[in-house]
Formats: sequence, C-alpha cells, structure tokens
Amino acid sequence: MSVRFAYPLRPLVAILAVTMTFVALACGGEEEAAAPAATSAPVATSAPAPATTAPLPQATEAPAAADTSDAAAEPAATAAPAAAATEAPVAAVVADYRDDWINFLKQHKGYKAEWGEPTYGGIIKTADPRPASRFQSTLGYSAFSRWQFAAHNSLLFMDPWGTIRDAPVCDLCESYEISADGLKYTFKLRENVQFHSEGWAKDQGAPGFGTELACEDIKASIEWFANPPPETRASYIKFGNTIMGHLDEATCPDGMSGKTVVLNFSKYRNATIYWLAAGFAVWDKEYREWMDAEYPGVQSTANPEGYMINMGTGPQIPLSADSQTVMKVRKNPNYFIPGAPFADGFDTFAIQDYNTKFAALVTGKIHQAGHGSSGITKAQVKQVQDSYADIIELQIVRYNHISGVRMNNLIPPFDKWEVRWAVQIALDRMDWDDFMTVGDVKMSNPAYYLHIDSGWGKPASEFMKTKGWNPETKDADIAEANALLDGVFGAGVRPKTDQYVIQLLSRREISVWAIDFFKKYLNWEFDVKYVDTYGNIATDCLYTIRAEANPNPNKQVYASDPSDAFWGVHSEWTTSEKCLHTGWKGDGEASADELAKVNGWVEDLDTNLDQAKRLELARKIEAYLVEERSTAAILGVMNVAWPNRWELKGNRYYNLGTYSQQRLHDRLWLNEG
Amino acid sequence: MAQYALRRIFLGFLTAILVSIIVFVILRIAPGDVVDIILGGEDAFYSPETEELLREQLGLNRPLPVQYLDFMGDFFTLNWGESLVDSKEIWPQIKEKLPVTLELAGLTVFFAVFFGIPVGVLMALQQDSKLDYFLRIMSLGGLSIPSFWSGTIIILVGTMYFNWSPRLEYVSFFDDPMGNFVMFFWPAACNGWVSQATKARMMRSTMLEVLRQDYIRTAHAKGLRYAVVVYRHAMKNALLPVVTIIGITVALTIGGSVIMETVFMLPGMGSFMVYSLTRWDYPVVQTLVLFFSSWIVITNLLIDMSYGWLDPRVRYDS
Repeated sequence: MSVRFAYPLRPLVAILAVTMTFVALACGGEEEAAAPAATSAPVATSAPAPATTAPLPQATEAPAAADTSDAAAEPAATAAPAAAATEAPVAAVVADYRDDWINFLKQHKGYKAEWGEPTYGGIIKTADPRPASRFQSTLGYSAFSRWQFAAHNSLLFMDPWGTIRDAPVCDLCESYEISADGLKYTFKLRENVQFHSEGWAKDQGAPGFGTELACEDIKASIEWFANPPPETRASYIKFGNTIMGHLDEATCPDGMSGKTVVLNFSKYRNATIYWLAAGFAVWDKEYREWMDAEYPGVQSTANPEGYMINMGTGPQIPLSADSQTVMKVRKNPNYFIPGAPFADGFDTFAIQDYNTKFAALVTGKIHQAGHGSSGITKAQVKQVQDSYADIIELQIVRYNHISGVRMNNLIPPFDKWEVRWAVQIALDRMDWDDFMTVGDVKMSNPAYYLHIDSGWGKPASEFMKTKGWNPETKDADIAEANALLDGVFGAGVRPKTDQYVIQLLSRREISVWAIDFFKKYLNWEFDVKYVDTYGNIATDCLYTIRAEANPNPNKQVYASDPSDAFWGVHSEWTTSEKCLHTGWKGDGEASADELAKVNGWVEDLDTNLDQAKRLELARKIEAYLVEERSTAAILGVMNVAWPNRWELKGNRYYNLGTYSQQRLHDRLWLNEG
Repeated sequence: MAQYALRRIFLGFLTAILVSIIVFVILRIAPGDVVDIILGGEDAFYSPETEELLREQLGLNRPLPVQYLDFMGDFFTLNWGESLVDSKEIWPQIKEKLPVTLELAGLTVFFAVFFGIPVGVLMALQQDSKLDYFLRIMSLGGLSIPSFWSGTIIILVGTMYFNWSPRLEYVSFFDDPMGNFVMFFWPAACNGWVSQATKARMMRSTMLEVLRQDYIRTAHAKGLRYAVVVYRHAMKNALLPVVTIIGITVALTIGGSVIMETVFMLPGMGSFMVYSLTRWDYPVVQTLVLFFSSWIVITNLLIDMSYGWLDPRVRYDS
C-alpha cells in the first residue's frame, strides 16, 4: 500500500484498534463474573450439632433410590402397593431422629461416600427454563413450587433420598398413627419448631414471626388446604376440595397450643397419606389470617409479593423475587433441625434459552439445571458425556410424565375408534426408544399410564408381549393399522388434518419423531402447527392430534397411589377436558352407562382396602384406557436429564421424580473438594 | 415544512392504530388463552364455570370492539393497567426495562456506525482489492447470518474455549460500569454486526459514486490533500443516504432486542415481550407492541425531518 493511501487510512485503523480494545476489555472483564460462585462457598458458618449416633428412620430402610434397572421395578410391582396399603390403615408409628443432622445423613442409604463431609456456606444457584407463572405454595403444585417449599415444612414428606415407594416420613411431626378404619390420623408434633423470625411481611406488622409451632397452626393450615377462601384462584379451591374435601374436622385434644393434632376423615381414601406428604405447607395460624385479610388471593398469580409472603418453618427465607429473572431465598438461622441447612441460600434464575442455560451450567454460573419436564436436551446430554463429564454429573430420572400422542375423540378423523386404534398399534416403541437413546442413556422407558417405579404398572417383560409393543409383531401391527385406516378412509387415502406441537422440549421430541413415523409407515402427513402453549386447544378440545408428555389423566404429580393416577378418568370427578374421558371402543362419545362403568372402577380403586383387588383394578383401568378408550397412543415414561455441577452435593432424585415432594433444601451443600 | 410534518404525524398515528388492531386481533384468534395460563395449564383442575368466571373477572367476555376501545383509551391516557398474569402494573415495568433496551439499542447503533461507515469508506477507497473483497464478504455475512445464530455461536464458543457465558444478573451502568459493559458488549456486537452490513455496503456504493464526481476531480486538481478530499468533500456528501439507514437502524434495533435480550439474559423490553407473549398476557403484549410501533413511527418521522437540515436542497412544501 502506498504512503498516499496509508495516510488517510490511519483514522480508520485507529477506530478499528479502539474497537478491538473494547473487545479485549469485554472478554477480560468477564473473567471475574464467570468464576463459579462455589469457589467461595464452602466456608463453615456454623457447627453441626454434637454427634449422637441415632437409629435411622423408617425411610432409610426402604430400597435405595434411583435404581433404574427394570429388574428392580418388576418384582416389587405387586409387593409395593400391598405393603403400602396394609401399613396405612393399621396403627403405625414413624419415628424420626435428627439430633445429629450430619451423622443422620451420612448413615442414610441415600448418602454417597463420594460426596464427602457436608460443608457449610455458599449460595446454590439453579435455573428454571421459564419464569414462574404462579406462587401458590400450598395448592399450586408445579415444577415452580419446588423452590417455594424452601420456606415451608409439611406434617409429612417423602424422603428425598429414599424412593417413591417408601412410606411418607415425619417432617413436622414426631410420630403419627392411623386408626384401623383409616378415618382418624393422630399426629404428635415436634417440640421447639419455630416459624421464621424474619421475613418480608414483618415490617408490615404481620403476626406470627418467631412463634412456636402448635396444633392450632396445623389445624388452620389443613382447614385452609381443604377449603381455601373464595379469593383463592378457583382451580386451587377445586383442587383443595378434591383431595382434602373428605376432612371432617381437625382437632387439638391437648389444646390449641398443644402438640397433638387429630384429623378426622369422613371416608377412607388410599391416597390421603400421600397427599398429606405432597408438600402441603404449614403456616402460622395468625399469619395466615393476616395474609388472607391483607393480601387476599396473593398467591394466585406470579406477583413477587406472592413469593415474598411465604413464611413458614422451612430452612430458607425469601429474600427477593422477580419472576422474570431471579428468585432468592436465604438460610433460616432458627431452623428446627440443628446443623441444617448447609447452604446460605438459593438463587433460582429463569433462563429461557436452553443454550444459555447449558452454558451457565458448564461455566459454573449455576450449579443445577434440572426442572420439571425440561432438563437439558438430548444433544446436551451427548455433550456432557463427551466433553463435560468431569464437571457435570448427569442424573437421568424417570419423570412422572408419560409421553404419547393424544387423539381427540370428538373431532374427525379420530372420532372413529378404528383410527385411534390403528395409531395405537402402529407406533413403533422400539424405534422411539432408539430415538430417545443418547450414548448409553435411555430417555424413555416402556409404560402405559402407571409409572413403572410406582409399583403398580405392568412389568416391562409383560409389556414387550403386548400388541403395539411387541417388536416381533411390529410389521404385522403396522400392516394391520394401514388396513384399518384404508377401511376408514379408502385404500391409500389419508386425510390432511392438523397436528399441534408446543415448543417445550418434551413435546417437541415426541412430535418430531411422530411426524416422521406417520409419514414413513402410515403414509399420513399432517399440517403441523407450532404454538407456545396448548392452552384452550387442549382444555376446549380443539385439537385433532397433539404431542403430549404430561401425565393426565394420571395425576402422579401429587401421589404415588393409583387412585391419584386415575382421578382424571372419572367423568364426574374430573374437570379435565372432555375429550380425555369420553372415548370408548366405538365412534364419538361414550354412553352414560359406559362412563358409569369406568367411574365405578375408579371409585373402588380410591377407597378399596384390598390391595390385591386394587392392583387388579388399576391394571384393568389402564388396559381399558389403552385398548378401548385409546385417546392417547402411549410411548412410555419420559426420562429427564437433570444435570448438576459435581460440587453440588446431596442432590439426588428418586425415579418418578415429582414436583414438590423432592424437598432437598436442608440437605444440599457445596463442596469443591 | 409544518404541513408536511402534520401529514406525517397523521399517517404515523394511522399506522400505529392499524398495528394495534392487527395485534389485538391476532392475539385473540391465535391458539392459546391467558385464562388457561392463569388457571394453571392444561392439566389443572378447573371447570368451564371457573373458566367463565375468570374470563368475566378479567373483562375478557366483553365484545371485542369494546375491549379494543377500552385498551386504546387507556393507552392514550397513559393508564396502561396491569398484567393479567403477574397483577403488576405495566408502566412501572416498562419504566424499569426501557433503559436496558435503550442501552442495547444505543450500543448497537454505535457498533453499526462505528464499523459500518469506516469499513464502507475503506472498501470504496480500496475498490476491488483483496481488502475490499474481504470486507465485502464480512459485511455480507452480517446481512446473511441472523443475530440469534451469531449470538448462540458466541455463547457456544465462549463456553467451549474460554469458560465464558453471559452474566445472569443484570447490573446497572451506575453500579458497575465494567460489569454493565461486559453484559451489553456481545449482544450489541451481534446486532451491530447485522446492522453495520447495510451501512458499509451503502457507504461503499455512495462513496464510489461521489468519488467519480467532477467536483472531486476538481478538488484533486486544486491540489487539496487526499485526506481533505476524501473526508471533507466526498464522505460528507456520501453520508446522506447512510443517515437514512442509520435512522431505520435506530428504529429496528428495538425489534432486534427481543432475541438478544433473551439469549444474553438482559431484562429489557424485548425479553419482557417474550415473557408476556408466552403467557398470553394481552394487555402487556398489546401495550408493548403499540409502544414499539410508536417508537418506529416517531423515529422515521424524525429521520424525514432531519433531511431538510442535513441537505438544504430538500424542500418539503413543494
């Protein structure tokens, strides 16, 4: 370049040089921000309680958690419900020993030696794939509520290091008894359990801070649970009525400030004990009254006040809330378990972009990225296996969702049973299984509606002989399906209809696979419509066919009992969409007699004391739903990949991971060693 | 001039009204329902009566024209109401998020101009050289590669090779200038790269055209220094069409913020829009879209007005 040209270019070169300096600054300045929070975390802030070797609670004697082998699921399938139900109505005492929290955890069967010694301090950072849409901590169970329960305890809970088949264990109670007829539950409460001494509402003059837990608090909380005030969102009222409406009365035989609570129910229901352990939050009576008066219905939306107002006995106290960005809780210094919790707090970030979330995990900005049906993508699972196994622990959890293709029996062409049945038998579950396999990780497991880990579902070995599932007869099944479709539509004719897909990862994968499968094996193409949410497409039965991964009509979100699973099948009890409970082995809607038949089964399942009969009933209903109703072609249990940084210790999930039960806040710690 | 301005303001107003009608209608005919979101999604327990009650509480059972007129009335009286999902007032939220988006937009324009104009001049001065071809390919890349893709690639490369990922918590410029700069640099660079491409290419072509003008030859013949000819005579005249594009960039950057703010965790108007759209939060989405469209209309108006000031030959009244 000549000097003549070089001279006038100097300003331009200078501009570019300055820009490069900015780039260098941007990258260099990030170093500090990128450092994982955990590096400064594990500083001891308080000593654990003196060591006293205590016997383990009942839960620790149950089978170890996270046993993902099919062999483990099968033999127990018949035993589990029998054990659970014969225990329940008979008097039972569940003791709990947590005088030495660290030793208790170290003796727990769920404890892993590689976790090392629990350490104190640090903020545990986690991510949600979308901002919370509600803050109902008592009734609004969802993936979001998991982090809200840090502020609360329940009477009972499911041991998060146990398995879903374990009996619920005491949380705020010392022990409990159930009368032989299953109508009377008596709880002895723990001594010296205090409500939070600090909190958002304290400056506003809210009562109850620092007071001791008493019977009146349980009574007020359970009565609120069973019959929420009218300002509460109607769906929550319905939910409370549905699962606790059979509560006759809650009494305090030792007085309102006593430690004995008696719950009297009008009828025995198998799932009651599980619902009580599902995360039902205990509030201070006066605080709850103040809250309902000053902020009626505040937890019906995602307004930050609905989060900040959480005040209970739990290990963490809300610090700040912005549902769009981050929600924070900080350690309760007066938590009733000496030596717990370990972490100074939790920050939960809403990270909508899957790529950004994964990057945050890899670079240590968050410690955990598992949430509901959205963990990390299959491609990211592969990346972890290939490149980040040394910094990220991959937890593959059998989730409570069942993947499948929903067909609306109220809209052609799926109003014809033959069409639904053709789809049911045609889908190649082995092909789906391959599609959902990443390296040695399987993201799907054979199942109908009853989760294999619940102990009620059909064993995998039986599944593989079932029509539509048997790989040896798959070609014949597909041929039969095509013949059925030819019979309905004409030879080779397939109607062009709408297929709906929502953008959630768990639905997208089903859809991508199904669109290809339909085209390839049934010569059937759809107009695919992508939407942000199914919304009224689902509730008003406007869809023709859609990918789905939520458990409806089974409700294992809340309990492991099958009466909970089949709640949505009962045509009078359920309020879910009509197209989910009016299908039958014929065209259009089922007759009243047909519906009454199924309703009878569900009612019997709900209250029957004979567990063998219940197992038979559960499988009969399940078979009916698949083979006769056939409004959903089931693909199997969905596995989720919930990864966490290795420095996050104590984090484990039982299969059939549920939303609120997995309460880990008092037993997670950060340890870089 | 005044008559022209009034006419443009009137047309801008009509455009905003049209946009508001389109958004209002689209939100209501598209699949999805805020009532379902509030009631907890498709697997929630609720009856048609419950749904209807909530619809009534939210005023969604009124005739659509009534709902629309109410919304527009509220918008123009700055009574923007509250979110259906959060129960939070809309205006305070916009007030909180607007500076984030303005900062991103400002930095984007800065990048676009800072790179686009010098690169365009450089390409013109070095026409058909290797440098010209290289810069043309680079700017063509800016036009061809969407910013959400380049943003994703930046995060992937940052993660895989530099252990870098976007900061998760927003930090204000006044609290931590460097932290704030770090947060905004890459999203602004991504958007800026896209925007600079048009400026660079436009600058190149107008500069080439001007450099061939007689008065440039005359300036050289007079013995003026090369730099003076280029910067004072050629570049000044070549800039006018580019200024128009810069104005359009200012208007459009606010739209580009939707993706970048989501990917780079910036709590601005763009991510607020995504947040509200996924919840079918009608009042918020309608208000934001109307706000965005008003922004674009006003910016375009200002660009048109600036022509007369930049180029005295432009006359509006004729």
